[in-house]
Amino acid sequence: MAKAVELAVEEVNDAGGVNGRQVKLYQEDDATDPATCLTAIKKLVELNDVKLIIGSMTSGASMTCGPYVAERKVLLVSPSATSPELTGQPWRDYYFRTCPSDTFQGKVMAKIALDEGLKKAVILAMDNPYGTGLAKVIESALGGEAEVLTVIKYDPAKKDYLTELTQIKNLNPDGVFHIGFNDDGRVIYQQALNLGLDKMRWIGCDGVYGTGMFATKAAAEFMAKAMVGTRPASPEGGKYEEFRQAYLAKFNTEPEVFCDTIYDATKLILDACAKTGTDDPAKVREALLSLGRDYEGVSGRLTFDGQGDRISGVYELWAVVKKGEEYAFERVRLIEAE
Amino acid sequence: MDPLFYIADTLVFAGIFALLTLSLNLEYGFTGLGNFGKVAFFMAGAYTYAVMASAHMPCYLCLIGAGLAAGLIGFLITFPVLRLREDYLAIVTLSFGEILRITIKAQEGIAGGVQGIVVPGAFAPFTDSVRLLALANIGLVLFCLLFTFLLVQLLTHSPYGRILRGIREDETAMQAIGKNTVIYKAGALATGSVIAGVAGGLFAQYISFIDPYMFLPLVTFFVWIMLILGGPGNNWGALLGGLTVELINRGTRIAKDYLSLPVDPNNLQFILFGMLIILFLLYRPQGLLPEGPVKTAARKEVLRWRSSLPTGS
Repeated sequence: MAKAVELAVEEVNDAGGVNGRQVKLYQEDDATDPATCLTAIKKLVELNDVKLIIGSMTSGASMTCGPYVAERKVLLVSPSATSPELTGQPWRDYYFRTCPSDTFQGKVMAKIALDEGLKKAVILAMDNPYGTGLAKVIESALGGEAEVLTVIKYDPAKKDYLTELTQIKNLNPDGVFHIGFNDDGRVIYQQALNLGLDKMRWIGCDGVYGTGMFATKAAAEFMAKAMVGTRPASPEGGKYEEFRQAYLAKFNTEPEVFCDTIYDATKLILDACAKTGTDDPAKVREALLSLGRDYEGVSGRLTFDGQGDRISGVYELWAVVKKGEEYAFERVRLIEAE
Repeated sequence: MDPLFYIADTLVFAGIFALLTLSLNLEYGFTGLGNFGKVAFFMAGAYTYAVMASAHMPCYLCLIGAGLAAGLIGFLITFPVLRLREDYLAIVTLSFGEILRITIKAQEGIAGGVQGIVVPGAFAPFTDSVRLLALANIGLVLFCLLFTFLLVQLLTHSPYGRILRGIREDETAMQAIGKNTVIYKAGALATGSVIAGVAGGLFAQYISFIDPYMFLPLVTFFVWIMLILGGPGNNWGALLGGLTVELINRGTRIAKDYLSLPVDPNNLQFILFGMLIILFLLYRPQGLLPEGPVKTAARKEVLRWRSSLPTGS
């Protein structure tokens, strides 16, 4: 992800910098640990005199760093903290997010289920902030129109999920929401296929998207038979394609997840500096709020609400199709979440 | 920019970890108990503080609660465990730390589960000044550290401390002269756990948000590194070890701004710690500051005190 920032900064510096000055980039590793992240940010602010920071990467780290940046009046823009819990925190004045909160994905997943007319659902979620956060949103978004029989939480480090899957089998729902990652997803889908759970509708999320899923044949077969899923869609063509080409040319690899939102975060901050002619966080903050209205970024159209949360996201509904002997993800349609 | 804040932050972290190192020193350095579950008691303290502070209790009560909760857990858990041999003690305490962490992670009702819990700052209601806040935090941590240091120093330089060292050197011999070693070991572990609990409370207060992912076994290993570098069996060594490791930790981060290193600075830090541990264990197993003699009062003086007691019996 840091590479996308380097790219953005390089582009701006090559074009003459901001306000006649070159942009200097400092990098620190937050190790996705809230305490480490706070130490790293304090180092940047107090020793390097940095006023505009792109981070924190995780929602937990945002919880420790948020109050501090509000106290010190420096700006924090996170490209990847998606937890709904961050919305409405008292320290939000100097904290922005260029990624949509998981609230939107949860709503989209619930909408898909309701559109298909599912009546009884089970939520199978990893026991981490991402999993439990999404599960909560889905449950409230279903709003009683479909009944949630139970929420099953599991430890994603496990190698066997027969207990959870048997429980689902006994409850016999119409559909299962699954919030997981690739590694646990492969095992779950393989075992679900063996138990004959492919007769019900499974709705996945961005965590189980990726060709890594096809490393296990049975998992791929299961996904083709039973699954659809959602993920934040990178808009096709246009600005994203430009960004992708530039990224490919510079680093010789495809951009990873969140590279687009971190690129947008960098560009937005620098644009805001150029607009105000200063790097004073209080003024940049105001500029960000006004710039962040229908901003055409590489991650799609971006609008901030009053506290700096991105208010809409475009999601892709995906399915898995079998082409000859190979499996592949296919875009069914785009869904705009509000 | 204000480097003073960064120095203050360093002192607070070093202070909290020095507390942990002192508590491990009491357990391992003096009594020979290999507690590999330090993080469990640290965590128990942090969560107790968080839950009590969320219920709007004053800071000092929360800290006392944090210490007592961790101490109680330490006392209870070590009773069945203390009859085990050294290496089994290490395994049991290590797994206990994980059990506690996973329990808190899984039980959303206790303190937010995986989502973590926000800890209200102790001084936030009294002042808006960032400087005063930093000063208050340093004051609180250093006060706790000073108090604990004096306590541990007095404890280990008393006849009680002599028995602890005796247990470390030869437990059978201590039993032979009629000491109930289990009680003494449980006492040392409970006291160590109280200190770790207070450190946890201070940590939670300072960081203002805790979640179960912050209490991985890595924390325990950091405390061990501090103690091994500083010098097991020497309380000054424990303080020095805590400060040294914290400085290396931050130093590698700062150094990378000025040097271009072939490895990532955060990995460099782990390489450095690993090398230091190996070198120290090979060439200086007694640590930076080696263990000194027990400074209990001389026999003659004690007899004089005793004869001056009014009862005289």
